[in-house]
Amino acid sequence: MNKWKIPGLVILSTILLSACSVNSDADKLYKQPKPLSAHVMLPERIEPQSIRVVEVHVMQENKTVDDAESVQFKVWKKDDPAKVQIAKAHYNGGMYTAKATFKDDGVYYIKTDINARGEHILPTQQVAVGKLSKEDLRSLQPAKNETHNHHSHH
Amino acid sequence: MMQEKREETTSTNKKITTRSQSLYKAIWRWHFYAGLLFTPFLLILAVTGGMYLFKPQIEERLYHDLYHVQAQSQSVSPSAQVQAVKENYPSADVLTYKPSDRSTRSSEVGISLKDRTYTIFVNPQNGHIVGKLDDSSRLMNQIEEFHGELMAGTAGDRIVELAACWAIVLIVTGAFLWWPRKKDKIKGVLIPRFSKGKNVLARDLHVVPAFWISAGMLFLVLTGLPWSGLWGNAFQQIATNAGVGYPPSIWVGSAPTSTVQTKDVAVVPWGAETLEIPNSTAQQYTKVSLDDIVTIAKEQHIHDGYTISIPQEPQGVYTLSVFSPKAQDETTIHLDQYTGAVLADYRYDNYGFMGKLIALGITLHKGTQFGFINQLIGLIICIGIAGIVISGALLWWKRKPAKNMGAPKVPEGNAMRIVTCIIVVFGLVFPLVGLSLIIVWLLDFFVIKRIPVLQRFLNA
Repeated sequence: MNKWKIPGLVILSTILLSACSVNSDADKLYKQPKPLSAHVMLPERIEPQSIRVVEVHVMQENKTVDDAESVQFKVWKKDDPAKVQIAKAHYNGGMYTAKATFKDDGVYYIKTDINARGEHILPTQQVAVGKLSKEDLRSLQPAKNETHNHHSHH
Repeated sequence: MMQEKREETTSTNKKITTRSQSLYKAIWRWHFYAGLLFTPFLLILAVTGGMYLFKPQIEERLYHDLYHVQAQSQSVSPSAQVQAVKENYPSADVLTYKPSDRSTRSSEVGISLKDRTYTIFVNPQNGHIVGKLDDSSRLMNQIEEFHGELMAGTAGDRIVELAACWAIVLIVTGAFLWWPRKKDKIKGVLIPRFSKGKNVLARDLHVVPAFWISAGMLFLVLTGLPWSGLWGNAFQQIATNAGVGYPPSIWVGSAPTSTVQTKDVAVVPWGAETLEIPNSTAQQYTKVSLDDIVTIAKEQHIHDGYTISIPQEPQGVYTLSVFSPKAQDETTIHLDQYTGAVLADYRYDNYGFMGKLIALGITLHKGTQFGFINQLIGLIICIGIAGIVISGALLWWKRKPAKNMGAPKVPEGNAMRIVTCIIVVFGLVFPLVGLSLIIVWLLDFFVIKRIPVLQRFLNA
């Protein structure tokens, strides 16, 4: 029996070594980022030929950020990406707000460009203004196109 | 009385000599069989490694027409470049984008198409496609695969790891055999003896270069082991978990995830009530554009030659990574795909001390850390290893008796047991070595011991 002690130990250690995996909170042991997050508030409905208020609540580590270096909304129409409307936002005691003009019916992009505390984020949203053409509607379904190559991971 | 004492000393001396002789034999036996068994693999590693060292120069020559484009004043945005690739290969998934780092260099778009991956080279000045490369057919990828896994997948990887581990056994036992037994002896130890006949010269041409090359060889083995599949993976996991290795996601562990922001704050922005709302789960936020990701990369001062991995799933992240020639310039940055927020920023300085050592080991092993000199030293070690392996095999072939392997006899006494014990401990640290020992034992116990011819042949 004694003879099998060492080989047994070897097998055991092999299994132990191959069974371990990286702890899910191992990243806490290394440099931790302080990412910004933003909640962009857009009007429920946007009619063409209107000027609307757009707002963003900026946060870092679950606390409101009130000292951003710059916050601006960049707005352009999907079929005219070269014409970008830039609306600088100001802090109103809770959120950064600005006004943007929406001229025509169609899909618009609103990019909220935030620089604060050395971090830079630029969440981008699509919004529909007025009535949409069938083509526009179809293009608003990126989710379907994007997930066709969804691979399963274990 | 005096007489008695002297006799005692002689007999102890004799005992010590026989003991050291049997120890020598025991170690020789291990060196002999390990060498014989792993000769072909070590030779393969040395030859493929010596070629792979010069990857930058070789690829520059092979793919000159794909790499270089005419410098022009205008340029096309990264997203337009990727769009051009998408139009050419509509059914492909775009996985990576590597921006051009100077005006005469093409940019690279990595795509997957029917389970194969290709690199599409794009002229960043006009968005034209320069050419396409099947990644698996690249010569250097094949050499790397040969070097890392003998082109035999996981099984090959394990064999390479085993050969690397046994190379350590060979170096250590070899150093013991080489160790000068007489003082002030240089000939046959540090320089070969040319005038003492063929047999002595053959021995010296194995032993002396082996001494000179062994430190380099040990270095290559130790720096190569952390990327092996079994031991390396476990080692990396332990180091990462302990906070001393690579941060997670660089070698082992997973990357952070993007926060999928649904319409929790703002109400559905789609204004057209008369028309059907496209998809109730449609994400409110769209992917940050590749152009903005390139801007962020510039803001982060990431080293030239970085690659952007494009998220393929809703929770995925954009990953900027560069494994530059010098370990100190390495960077891995994960960005939230909906906001561009930096979720993790791991540079060389953020690695644990073991991670730094591994990273430096890798760039030294690959010959990139110190440029051409580094490549040259690597090449010399590779040629040296090939030379030692071949001269060792020749040494055995010349001395080999006709009827058996010519292995040193199993010595009597404790010597063999001591050596075996040391190797077993080694087998615990490197489980694959342990596993191979078990197999040898089983083979010995069930096959060799029962077949006298085999037993005689192997001198067992």
